[in-house]
Amino acid sequence: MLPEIPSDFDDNIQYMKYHNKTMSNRKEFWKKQAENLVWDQDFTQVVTENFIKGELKWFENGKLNAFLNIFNNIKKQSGFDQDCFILMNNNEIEEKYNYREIMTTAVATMELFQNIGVKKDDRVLLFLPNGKNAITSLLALSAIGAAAIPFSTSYPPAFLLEVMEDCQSKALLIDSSYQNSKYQEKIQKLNESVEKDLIYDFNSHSVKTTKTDPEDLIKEHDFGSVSAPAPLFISYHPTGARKPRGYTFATGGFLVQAKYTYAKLLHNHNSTSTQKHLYFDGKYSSPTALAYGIWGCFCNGDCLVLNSASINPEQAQLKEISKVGSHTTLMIRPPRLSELTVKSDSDQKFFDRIILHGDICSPRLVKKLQNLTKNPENVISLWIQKQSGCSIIHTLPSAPLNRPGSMGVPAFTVEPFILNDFGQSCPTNQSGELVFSASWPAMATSIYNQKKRFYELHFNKFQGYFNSNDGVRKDSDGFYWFMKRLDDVFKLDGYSLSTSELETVLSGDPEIGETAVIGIEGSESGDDISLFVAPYDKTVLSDPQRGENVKKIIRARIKEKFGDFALPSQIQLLSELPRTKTGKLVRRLLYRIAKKDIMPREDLSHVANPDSIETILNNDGGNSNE
Amino acid sequence: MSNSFKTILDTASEITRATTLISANKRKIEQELSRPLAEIRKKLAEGKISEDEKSSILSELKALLNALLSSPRNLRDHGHCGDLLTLITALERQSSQSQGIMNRFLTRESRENFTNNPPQVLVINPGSTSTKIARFKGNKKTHEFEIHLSPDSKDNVQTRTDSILNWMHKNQLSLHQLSGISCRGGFIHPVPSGTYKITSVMLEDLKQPEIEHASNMAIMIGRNLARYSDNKDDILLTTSDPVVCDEMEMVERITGFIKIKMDGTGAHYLNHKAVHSFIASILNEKKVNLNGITAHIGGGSSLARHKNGRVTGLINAFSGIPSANRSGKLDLPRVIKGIENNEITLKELKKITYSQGGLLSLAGTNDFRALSSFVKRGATEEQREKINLLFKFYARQIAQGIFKLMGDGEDVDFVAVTGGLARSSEISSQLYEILSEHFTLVFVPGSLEHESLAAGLMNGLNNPGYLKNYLKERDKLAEKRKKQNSLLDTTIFKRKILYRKHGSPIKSLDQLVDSTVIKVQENYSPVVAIIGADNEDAILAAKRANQQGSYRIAKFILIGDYEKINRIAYDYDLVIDNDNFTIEDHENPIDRGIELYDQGKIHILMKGSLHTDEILRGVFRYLKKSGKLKPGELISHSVVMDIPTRNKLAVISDAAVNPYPDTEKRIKIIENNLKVAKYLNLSMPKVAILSAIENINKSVASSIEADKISGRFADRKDCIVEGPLSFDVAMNSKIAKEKKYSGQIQGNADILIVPDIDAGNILYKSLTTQSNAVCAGIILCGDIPIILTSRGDSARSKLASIGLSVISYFHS
Repeated sequence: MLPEIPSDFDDNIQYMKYHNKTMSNRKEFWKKQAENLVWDQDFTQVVTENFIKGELKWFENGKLNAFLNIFNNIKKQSGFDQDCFILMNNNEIEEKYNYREIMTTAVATMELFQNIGVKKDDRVLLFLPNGKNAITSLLALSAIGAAAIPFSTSYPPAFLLEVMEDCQSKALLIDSSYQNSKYQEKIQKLNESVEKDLIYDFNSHSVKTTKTDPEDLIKEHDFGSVSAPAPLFISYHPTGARKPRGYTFATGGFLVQAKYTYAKLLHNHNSTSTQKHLYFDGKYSSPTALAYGIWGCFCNGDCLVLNSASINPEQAQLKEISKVGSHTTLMIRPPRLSELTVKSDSDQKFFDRIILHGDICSPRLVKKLQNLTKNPENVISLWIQKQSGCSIIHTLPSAPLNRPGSMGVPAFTVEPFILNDFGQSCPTNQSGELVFSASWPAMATSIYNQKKRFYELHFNKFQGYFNSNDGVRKDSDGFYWFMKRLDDVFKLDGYSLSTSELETVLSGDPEIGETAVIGIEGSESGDDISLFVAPYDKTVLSDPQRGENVKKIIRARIKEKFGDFALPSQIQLLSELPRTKTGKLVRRLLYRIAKKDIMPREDLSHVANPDSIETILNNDGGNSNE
Repeated sequence: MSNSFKTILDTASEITRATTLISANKRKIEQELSRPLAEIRKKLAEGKISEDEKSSILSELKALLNALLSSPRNLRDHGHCGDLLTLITALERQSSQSQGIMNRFLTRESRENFTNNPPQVLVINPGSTSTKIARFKGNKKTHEFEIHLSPDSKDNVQTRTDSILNWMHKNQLSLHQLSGISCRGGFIHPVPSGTYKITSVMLEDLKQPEIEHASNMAIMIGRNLARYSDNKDDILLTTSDPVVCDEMEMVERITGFIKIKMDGTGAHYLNHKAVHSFIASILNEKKVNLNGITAHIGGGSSLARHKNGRVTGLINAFSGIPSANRSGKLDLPRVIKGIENNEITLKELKKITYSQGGLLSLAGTNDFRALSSFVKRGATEEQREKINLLFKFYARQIAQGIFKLMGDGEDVDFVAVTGGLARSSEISSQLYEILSEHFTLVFVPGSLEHESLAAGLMNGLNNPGYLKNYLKERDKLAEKRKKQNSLLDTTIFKRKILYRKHGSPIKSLDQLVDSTVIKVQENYSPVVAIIGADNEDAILAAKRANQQGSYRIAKFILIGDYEKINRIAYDYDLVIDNDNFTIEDHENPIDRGIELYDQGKIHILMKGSLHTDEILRGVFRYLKKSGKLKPGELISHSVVMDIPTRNKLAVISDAAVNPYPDTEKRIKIIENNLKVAKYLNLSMPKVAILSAIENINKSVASSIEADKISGRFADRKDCIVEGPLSFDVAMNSKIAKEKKYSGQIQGNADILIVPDIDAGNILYKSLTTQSNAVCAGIILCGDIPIILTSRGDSARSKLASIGLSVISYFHS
């Protein structure tokens, strides 16, 4: 049985105790959270999953409408006159809407979409700037039950075309009234390549709302019930020359967890009844923005603040922003604050909370920001990845559970593991890769139309675990600490390519072998890659002819799966890849080998199998100095 | 004389009296028993004992044995116990068609269930030149035969199978009526003893056997034969106690060389186990309760220690006793010398180890019987003497092996000598002489292998639960061995730490590190702050200096950019535990480092990614401000060189910090280096002020200056400072003599003071790059030691640098 969980904890031990209980009562816990939503049809299963195959499904057979859930909540709670969405331009408030305006516009938008043939289970691309149109479009699509595919205006048209092709989208939403020369160029290109009737320009259609009472409007329209596992949105990412990856997020699971995690981390503090303003620094279209900015925020009746410009975060500027509401939370990525200087002498505690997400937060930065919040523990960092939907490891707004610089503690029901490269669990403080043995509701359920790739990228490395490609450690108090990203992304001929993607493809090939991809930045032709391969068939090593053959196969495979741009400048065959005692690839050494920057008496004390690279060192290392 | 002493004397004579009494009684038994026993032996040899007579004799002998065994083991009349037991086993084995043995090997249920419908089974035991074969019907061995290989035909599984089919046909034995075939187990993978059902996994494992041996064919022959049978699906195929059994105790697996580990495989397990259980059955004991040693001596020999039903210790022809054609264990230094002097080749060594050693090498035959008969006819006096010596040698080797297996200190209930050689009167009489007083020594000549194979199979036929699962047992054992191996491979000290007397001069960098380890063990680990820890070399050096299970000469605080340090820490498996390693996120590492030093939280500074100048400037500012730099003190750099051709260390200064020091500065540099000499426990350090020449020459400025400086140290009693000196005079005694240098430094300088940074740098780099010299560096800065390491430094050098600064810290 799941006990009543206190809202605050005395110490980390007490937290871990409850955390443990939620882990063993995972289904019960999320069932309870799901009860905070209105379901048209109850789900029969909380979760069914198989991590060996990389499959998961939350709230099976349940049906609900995301839009109606926001509507019902606001009706019940604070009422339609509350602030809903504010668009700023630098320090100035440009537009401001209450829930009445946003809800009625959303319904009108829905009608328009339906008129151009958007139906339940369709997919629609949003290529819009931060603004009311983006917000109401998202709500309107959810009301229909169509999946949104949101993009910020920085994406290149070529990529959008690829995505439209990949997901067979029903419409592309643009707004030609947005006066930005680059954007104008882009939509011109799109207009040239996309069939006319697939493009919907907000500038040429006016969304009219005749009724002002949202309740009347709701009554007049039919809202379909959407299946819980159906996608609420799909988040697409460019990945080199391979097919784009579109992570799908299920309506039921995403909504349940977004509502819960927002309430937990952003809403329920001080006086719970008063409305909060969330200033989200960034674009509306990322999964994080959708989880906390849109769905989490609206499901809790709070107000979202976006900026149409990109502010330069300075103390004075931040202070202006905080004035947008009486309780303002700032949500921002840490690198944006790297230049920030805080004068701590005057009283500058103008934010309720500062939420850091999406990057490493150094203890120094957190301590600095603590000067800007009412209580030092109100600077929170969230660990979120593209695929994770919501934050599942985070610090909490209470002193004993907030350690500056740490990733924090696992969210309820989430059980992280740290494994070394042999798949063994790492002891306390020893670093390894962060993985999970079970899912959480908001997690991406697949890659759209590429189930196998979802499995390959996230479940293949450690059988039965969802891997994060993040290197972390856990201290003796149960706090997680980020150490490094294990997946290097570098640019080749303008394409971005991740080492893990390339390694997964090559190492999975029985004709090749275990592969390490080393990116070398700043050679003459821009970045460059070098491959180290330990062939599965060791006999290849003693036969130069067959060795060359393997290299040929590798080149052919890269050409076929990625393109010419990803061809490595050098391929070296080794008996095995050099690893540390815990199995980590010694990439720094490989990097230096690739750059031919090896000392005559290279310190190999950290390499567990120095024999593996001895021949290379003897060939290359010798001539550098002697 | 004290009273207690008298009591002791009385008690001692009491013991003597009692012992005499025991001996007298033993003699009495001898008188009474020797004749009837001799008679029985004679009758037995002539085959004149009828079945009825036998059972009455047996029951009498057993009663006698029981009576003798009831006395405590240390006072037992081992000689007669052994004699009786030998006779009893012989009588039991006399029974027709091996029924006596079979009845002891079959379980009670098997015996009962098979009385009406005895199963027919075949036993296959291939040897190198023949295939032994036996057919059993229930508890009766109806046929036993040795099919010799025809010299013309190929030797493979098929020809051997055919020859068996042929033999069966001749003897009108039907393959179709067989319920099972029991095959001698070859070199499958190691498993515990027992009877195993033959599976395809076993066949797979036999494809790549550890050792090529005829017995490897048995299982395949069995499988082949079964295929020819009409009821091939019902034929049970088993093997019992294969040669690769392994039940050895972990402690027995260790050798004096970490790369070589023993295991229990490679012995006549089938016979060892059979003899052990036969004797246990006769003595009415459970196998697990009967501890003993069985010595299988024959063409090959092995000794097995039975404890708690397992063979916990083992000596075979590779780990000890020589056999007919194997050399046994040899004295390695002599082997090495032989190889070095080209008297022995590796090929020869292989041959004598596996096939051409032992008796074959010593006597030119692998047949002991040939030796016995040669003694009787044809041998010369010398040859006879040598042959007798050889018998003595073999007997003694076996006896020594048996005593060695007693090394666990636990008593044995019996020692059994079995195998073909147990029939040799020469060997067995010698063994009897050595062992019978100490152990209940029983001779079971020949082997019980076929009976054991047949009985194992029949017990399996009766109750499938009796059979073990090969795959499961194999993997379980492999897993167990793997775990043991990883424990046995646990590193205790990575580099051997050789303890030395306190205060003795440090002569090499390895000794320097050892001294540091000891110093830290006696005190505590000082804390080193790495200034700008986002530096791979510094991190690697720190890792070397603080490794779980190896060294922990310092703890480290890594100051600098949080993200970068974490990345490196991850890559190099640094365990950030906030004790041994702590990350301190700070944008100005040197200021933070000094702040921590001032608070007493760190003791030593180490250069990371920051430039040396920046660190020195920061430290200097601090020292000046806090008044910790005493007037007249100077910051200088010393490098301690370990030059392979020299038997002591050399300190070079200053090759890094003071580029062109004047006379006064160089005097201060010498003072700093005298501190370094103290760290190295040099009581009277010899300081050479280097110049191009050892005479004062006006055209060489450094020579004039050297003279000035050495003059300033002329009155010192704690050191010898001489100059000018040329490098060769300072470092090479021969040259010093040749050049007739008259000073006290005769090629044995400890400290070399160079004229300037150019000379110093050239000297130190030429030593490290051209002479394989290893160095440790330190900056002396008031009381703050600063460690410098660079990418060019080897792991050893980095460790030594940290060691030097740790020693320096404890000195100040």
